[in-house]
Amino acid sequence: MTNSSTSSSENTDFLYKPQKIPCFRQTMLYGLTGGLVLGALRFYRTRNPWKTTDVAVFGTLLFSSVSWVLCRYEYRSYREQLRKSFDLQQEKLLFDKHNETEKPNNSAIEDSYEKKT
Amino acid sequence: MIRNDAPVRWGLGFQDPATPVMEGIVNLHHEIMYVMIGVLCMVIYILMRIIYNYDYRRNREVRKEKRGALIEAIWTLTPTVILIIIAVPSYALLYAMEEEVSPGVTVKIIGHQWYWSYEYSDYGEEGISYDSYMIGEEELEEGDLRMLEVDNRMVLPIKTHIRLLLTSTDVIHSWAVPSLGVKCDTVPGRLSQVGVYIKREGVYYGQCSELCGMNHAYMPIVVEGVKVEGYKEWIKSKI
Repeated sequence: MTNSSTSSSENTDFLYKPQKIPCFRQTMLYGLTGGLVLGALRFYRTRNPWKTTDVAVFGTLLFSSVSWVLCRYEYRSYREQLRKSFDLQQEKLLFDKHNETEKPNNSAIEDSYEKKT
Repeated sequence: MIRNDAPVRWGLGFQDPATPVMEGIVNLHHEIMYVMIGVLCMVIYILMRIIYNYDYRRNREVRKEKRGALIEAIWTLTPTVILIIIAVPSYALLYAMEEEVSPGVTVKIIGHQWYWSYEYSDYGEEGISYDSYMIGEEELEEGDLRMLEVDNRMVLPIKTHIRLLLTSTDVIHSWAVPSLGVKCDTVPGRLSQVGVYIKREGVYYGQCSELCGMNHAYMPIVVEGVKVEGYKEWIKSKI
């Protein structure tokens, strides 16, 4: 929770922050760049502003969609790997704990061995 | 790190998720929001284009198009594909939420006008039960949240599968905690069941979400997620 003593101009927690969405920044960058490049190439060929705008808009949507799908797939794979590694660590901790509780007290045997040697 | 586990003034976004269910809900929201914004931009652009191009001052001659098989196929298949793209992760999450796991802890939640009571019947001879009332404004301490703090919090262990059984004694209430991704109506005469798995420690705030009378806005919910050792200590202190 934010400190209630901060001023309203500094407290922006209430805003919806799309930049926090994973893959948002990459999608916007690739989409806008791809759309601008395609639009510029179209304008260079046809000198028609409306066709340029059509190509730029649909190019932006296309590039951003592809970027979004690929980035979200990587994000899901990463999360899945993180979850599996966490589960493995938990199992290892439980296994080690179980082994420690069952370990016999060999201090007497070790003492006798040291005496012999 | 400061977590957003309570409502903020004029808040528009989600609270930080504390359970796998809520994480899934937030991720699904991101996926669908992208599709929505893309469709919105495309529709607005096409609409503006058509309004500008086919204005009567620029197109005095009326053209009658009788064939358009390709465009009709496109505008039929495209929404179908979009809906399938939305439906696949949505159904996956829906069925994942209904997955049943043998719970380690069972807690009963009973809604009253206008407070909540919690029962932990697995411990001791008579179990543990207590009521949870909202703390009034005049009794709040510095740093407390107005109309959200309660006198007795619900304490739950983290990293444990928990079963919540909900009912009500009078009218329909709704036990809702956004950070946990839980919202369940408590219906008198009926027992509802919800499963929860809290991933991190914290204090999670919620409010009654079904209009239940005069003080419907004054029966908040506070869940405190603690480690298993802390939970055991709390249980021992209560027995």
